[in-house]
Amino acid sequence: MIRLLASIQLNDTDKKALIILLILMVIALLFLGLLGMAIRAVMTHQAKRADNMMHDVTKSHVIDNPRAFRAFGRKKNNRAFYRDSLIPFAIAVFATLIWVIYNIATTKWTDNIFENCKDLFFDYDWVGTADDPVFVKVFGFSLLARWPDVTHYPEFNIEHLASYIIVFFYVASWLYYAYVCQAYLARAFMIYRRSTEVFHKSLEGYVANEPVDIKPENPTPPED
Amino acid sequence: MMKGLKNFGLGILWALLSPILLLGIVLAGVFGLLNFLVQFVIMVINFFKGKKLFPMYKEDEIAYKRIQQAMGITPEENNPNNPPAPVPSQPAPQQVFVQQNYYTQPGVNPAQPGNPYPQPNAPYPQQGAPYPQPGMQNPYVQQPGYPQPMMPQQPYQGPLPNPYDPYNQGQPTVNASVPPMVQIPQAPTQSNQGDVAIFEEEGDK
Repeated sequence: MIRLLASIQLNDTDKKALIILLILMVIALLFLGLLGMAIRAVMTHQAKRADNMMHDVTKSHVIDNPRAFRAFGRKKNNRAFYRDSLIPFAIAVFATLIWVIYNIATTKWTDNIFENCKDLFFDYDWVGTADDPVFVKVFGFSLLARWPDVTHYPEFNIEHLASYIIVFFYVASWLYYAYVCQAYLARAFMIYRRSTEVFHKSLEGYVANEPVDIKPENPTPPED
Repeated sequence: MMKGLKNFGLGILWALLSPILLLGIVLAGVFGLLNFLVQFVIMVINFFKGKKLFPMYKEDEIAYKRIQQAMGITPEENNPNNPPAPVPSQPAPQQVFVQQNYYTQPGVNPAQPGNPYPQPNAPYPQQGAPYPQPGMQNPYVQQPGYPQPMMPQQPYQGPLPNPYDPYNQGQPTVNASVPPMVQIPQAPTQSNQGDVAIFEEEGDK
């Protein structure tokens, strides 16, 4: 294997390409690591609310076993999920209301508002021509052969203004709802984890056959 | 340094597992729609029952009472469902009525000598002047030669003012035989309608 690697002859261009590839891989790894750290930090922050919800009932020993802890945690988590999702639902309802009013006023019920929003973004020709395809087949895999041609540049069409606004509200509500769902999952994980930790009993270092060392004490005299 | 590297490694792990997390978020989103409907129905039922939209769970109530008992607080004192009566910022206004009546006998001139009643409009001593001054009588001190001032009097026959009617102070619009304590407040009279109008204008500001 080592001989095989040592026998590979690289010219300057190959060496440069290899260095660029390595740098790109390091950047991608760094990006992945930072992204994962961010996701983990956000979910840890969201999971703290589960501790807040379950603190009193656990400290006051109202709940004293993992099964009851999980059941009660699920109830409270569902209610918190409902409360949190009220805001994105309200935003979505508001966007729908705008859409209905706009269509009543303009009678453009068949217009696709998401299609209209493509005005604001680049569009690429991902197919190419038969002589110059964008993707090529290498050992059965489709690889990008060249950068695709731009078919559309961003432009602002005033006729599609309502579509832009409605789609903005819809996307905002979806992102917010995804965040709320992530918080729900984080709390659910935390409740499960706490249910195993809080009521944990360990027999580490305990030997049942050991003589119990109990110091006899004088009994407390009865009260008058 | 090692902790940072460990966090970075965990970050890469989380990033690689993010598709599974994304799948979980999608499933939670679908569940959230059903949960929204169920919780909304529960909320509407609680609303029409007259309860709070999200009442405390039984376990939370027990925990709340236990914590309060541990803190030495009576649950009734600090119950969020039973707040204490609000304390007014200032005491309620009290109306004090001072009535000064001079009873004059018909046909009696109070300025004549021998009049057993003191003159109601007798001049009072000015500031710095010695008292008594000549030609002046103190109506509240029995003078020599005068009989007891509270002599035969006739009871006041006129209408009594109703202390509970702000519009009818001393106006003879009600039957005097009816005790003033039980009289119903009257509508504003012609004379004080302007005051009511001014009050309403101020209230609209």
